[in-house]
Amino acid sequence: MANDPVIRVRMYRQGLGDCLLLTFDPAGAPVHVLIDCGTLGSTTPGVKMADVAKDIIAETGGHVHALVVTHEHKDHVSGFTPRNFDGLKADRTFAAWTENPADEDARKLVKYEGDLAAALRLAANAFAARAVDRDDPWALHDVRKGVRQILGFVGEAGGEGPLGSDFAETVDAAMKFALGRSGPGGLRYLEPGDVLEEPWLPGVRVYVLGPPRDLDALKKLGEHGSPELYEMMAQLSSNLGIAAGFAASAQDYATYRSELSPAEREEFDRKLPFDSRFRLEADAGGCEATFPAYYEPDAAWRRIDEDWLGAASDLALQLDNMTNNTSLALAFERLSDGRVLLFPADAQLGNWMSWPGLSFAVTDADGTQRTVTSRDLLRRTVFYKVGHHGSHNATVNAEGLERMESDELVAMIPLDQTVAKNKEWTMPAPGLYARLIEKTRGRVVRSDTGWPEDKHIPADKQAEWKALREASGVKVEPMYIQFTLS
Amino acid sequence: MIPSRPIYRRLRAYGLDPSLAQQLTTAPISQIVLKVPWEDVGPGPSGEYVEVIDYDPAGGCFYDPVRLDDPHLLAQDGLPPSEGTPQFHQQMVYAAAMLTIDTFEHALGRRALWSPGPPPKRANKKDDSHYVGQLRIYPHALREANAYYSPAKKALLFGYFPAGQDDPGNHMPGSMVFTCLSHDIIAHETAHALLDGQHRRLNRATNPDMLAFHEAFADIVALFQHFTFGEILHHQIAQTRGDIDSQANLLGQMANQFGRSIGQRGALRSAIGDFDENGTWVPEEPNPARLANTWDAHGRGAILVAAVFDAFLSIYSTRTQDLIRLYTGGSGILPAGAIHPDLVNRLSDEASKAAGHVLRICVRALDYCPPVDLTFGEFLRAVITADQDLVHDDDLNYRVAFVEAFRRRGIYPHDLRTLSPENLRWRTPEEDERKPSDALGGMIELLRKHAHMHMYAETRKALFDEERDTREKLHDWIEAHLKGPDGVQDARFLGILPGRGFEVHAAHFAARTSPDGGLLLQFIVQVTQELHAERFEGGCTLILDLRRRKVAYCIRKPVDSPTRRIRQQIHQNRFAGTGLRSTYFRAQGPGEAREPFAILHRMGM
Repeated sequence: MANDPVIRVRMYRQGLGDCLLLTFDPAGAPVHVLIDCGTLGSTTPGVKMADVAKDIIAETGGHVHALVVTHEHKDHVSGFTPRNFDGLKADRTFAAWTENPADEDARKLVKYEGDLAAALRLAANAFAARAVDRDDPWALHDVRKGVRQILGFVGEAGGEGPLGSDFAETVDAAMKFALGRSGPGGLRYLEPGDVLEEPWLPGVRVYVLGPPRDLDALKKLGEHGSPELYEMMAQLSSNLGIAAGFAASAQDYATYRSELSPAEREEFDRKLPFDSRFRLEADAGGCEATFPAYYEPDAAWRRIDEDWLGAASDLALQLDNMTNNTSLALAFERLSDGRVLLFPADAQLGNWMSWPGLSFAVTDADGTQRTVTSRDLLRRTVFYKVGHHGSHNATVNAEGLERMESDELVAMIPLDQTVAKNKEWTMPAPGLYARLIEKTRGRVVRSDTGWPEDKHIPADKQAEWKALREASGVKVEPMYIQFTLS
Repeated sequence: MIPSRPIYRRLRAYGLDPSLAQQLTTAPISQIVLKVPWEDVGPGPSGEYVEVIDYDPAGGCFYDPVRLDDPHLLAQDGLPPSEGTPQFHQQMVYAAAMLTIDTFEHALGRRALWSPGPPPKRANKKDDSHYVGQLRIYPHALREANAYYSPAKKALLFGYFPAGQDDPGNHMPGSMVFTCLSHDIIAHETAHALLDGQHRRLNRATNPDMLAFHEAFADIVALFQHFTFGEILHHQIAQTRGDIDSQANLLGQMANQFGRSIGQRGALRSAIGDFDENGTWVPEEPNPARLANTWDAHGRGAILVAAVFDAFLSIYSTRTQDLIRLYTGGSGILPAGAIHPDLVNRLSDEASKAAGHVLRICVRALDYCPPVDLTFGEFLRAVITADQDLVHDDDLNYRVAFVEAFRRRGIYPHDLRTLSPENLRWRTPEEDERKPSDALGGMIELLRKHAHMHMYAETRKALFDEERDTREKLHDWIEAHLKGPDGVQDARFLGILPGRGFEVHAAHFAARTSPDGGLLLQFIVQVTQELHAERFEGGCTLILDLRRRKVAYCIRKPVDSPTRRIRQQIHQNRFAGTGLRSTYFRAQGPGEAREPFAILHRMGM
């Protein structure tokens, strides 16, 4: 491979999910790196995952130098099935330290996420156990739906069903398959602060920006998270989970309790607020006579039958956010000119905000040793793979987008807005999309609809930005959108 | 002989949150007796203003309602405090809520109404004819460390949870924590409901101050109500040793302790001060720049709470200066050892009075706020104007105390050149740049005819109906008037656009007496108009003096203000649709929340 290679990025158009094939020196001795392969649905332009896999295998000759699996979400890994990729070998596989079963912090995280997921599953079942009408005013329709969807993201049964046999039944199976592609010796876990200068990738330096080692940063949901979030979440999952288990069973108190094991019964009793002698069972007759106000049909809008499950939305967000924050965030630097390509996967605030604290020790070709900061890398970023399908939280403003100063900046968003809309998700976030268009001077391309529509571009810039687009090195093909940094 | 009805019903309650680690020093004040205005109550308790329904949906059961008129309960000031008895919880939540309502009504000078319920089937979305007489209180509604007011259900929902081993809220490990047993939390949530009844538009976040204001106001009510409990104050002040400055620290520390609670709620008192690593309580240095850099509701709310608390401390200090001078022979330094019980009595008396006054000033200021898009600076102006209208001789300098305290924390209207009570007062029409026509006064004649109906309304429902009737008549009058020759001028004066639909959002009659014997008869009218395309609202609050037959103030938020519209858009773009929550749970963004207070109170996410 040449020492200042041409770099080509192919964003496949398999819908709402990431699948990016990086090729270094495509015209000479190509080196291929595959980052993620997954989807939650494909309508625009409706490319099928199986076809994407075929194209990748054809383009790479069945061999990639590196496979990168950024995090355990369905839309990043669902494509990794034997049927799709048995014909693909990878010399080495990279994953974040959070995937390392031997790492103590990683294990803590897995346990924590497992607890959250378990509570969420119970909550989803509790919702399902109760029949509601679309127009019941007291029901929590949005939480019901949102919880199921987030469970679907992590590939849980009880989440959205499998999308056809192309896809792995659970995220676990997909992860196992992907991480095993290069054999046990080929799997490497990356730490923030790592700098990779590999013989098989000359002329390029890879910086590992995230996920952070700081567990608090991983849990950071937004700017206003409470510092005691971990304990509260743990408590919440436990309290909610146990109550949800009871609600989901649709049994009466005595029967449910009698079917628990002694340990479970003790746990269940401990969470009850009062001694059982005070209970007036809600499903027994007689309550309507004692509490006529509650059961009055005209006052149905004041009922609180489900409000206690509203907290499930917090658990769901925390689970989704944490997993997103465990994203392996990488920056590829071409040594000859210092241009940087940024792939943060779905990193959220906690992940991004940990970058300024990193310092990368590098040695130049002439032997000079210096320190590179993340701000420096952002400043020189010419290509940005937009995180989390353009949802707001995943492109941090002040420490993120606003630090990208290159006037060559091109951004790509893997997105299928129709799929997102069907799930009632706000992707892309309008404010972010507008800002990206501004910053890149019109050079933002989405995997579903390509370049921005004219209505998003100010009239006086139409001609100028059209020229910029044409000179940007981006080609829109039916199956993928390709960017070439020559 | 039939004895006359009692004035109060005495009900026992916890003075301090029972789940917080008990200390020997606070044991004597952990239980108090609340004096709640006497009313006929059914089981629940269920009365005129609230009905307690003890349904525990997570547990799948109800708990028997308490019957407060049972002779056994009447004979001993209600049930004895007990964490393990649901009926006591019902009693306490009723008592604390009713006390808060009573305090609020006294300050406001009229009966409190809850915000209307959902519109009847097939009615217009803005129909507000659905009268809700009783606020519902569910003492065991949630199984989490949370409590909130639901505007959609006109209900207070309280949570309970077992405190874990590493509980961050300082609860005793393994204990069951009930938010319905914290007087502070009950008062806070009830205050949200009361505020919502007065200012329905305040739970729409059109600027960074609005949700913060709701939180801060609810906290101010809870905080100062706490300070009116003489026994608690007495006990704490008696513990003070040393010089007078420590008094301020003590009161600040108490404010902190009363609010020491779960999750984000404790953060509302954080700007007053906190405990350092050695466990010493240290007051926070006010920093005017902090407000400009704080955007979340709790952070901003905390600054407002601290500002009002600061004003209270100044007022308390002014009120007790002479006592301290007398006691210490002019040195101001309290001798070592216990303070004389007489002085403790007087000091706690003054603190209690000052707290009551501050609370009253803050509640009265609500009438002098614009109907939409309220900012902290405008609240300050409302405070000053409301107080000035009622108390002409401010010889204890209450208003200066407020201005100073707010200014120190960077809260002031940014469009004023100087900050003095005179300058902060809202402009009268004579001083205003937009002037009404003479004919606009015809509105007042209309209202004078209706005032007595409001005054003599037998029930709150009758008052509710009267207010709606008056609003309709006013609307018709204004609509016709705006079509006339003075229409354009007066539309400008009211801050709305002529020729378009508008609402008479509220019309409250208020009768207040001032300390110097004066009688103030006013109508508070809110006029609003919405530009549909952008969900942008404007309008004004009119304070009409019925006796002098004039428009006293027009507190305006003009619809025709492009700068305000842009500011609102910037705020909504910045915060609406941000955060992971609004990506997935769209119904719960800050502009359009199904349960705005549940989210605020939960984790602030």
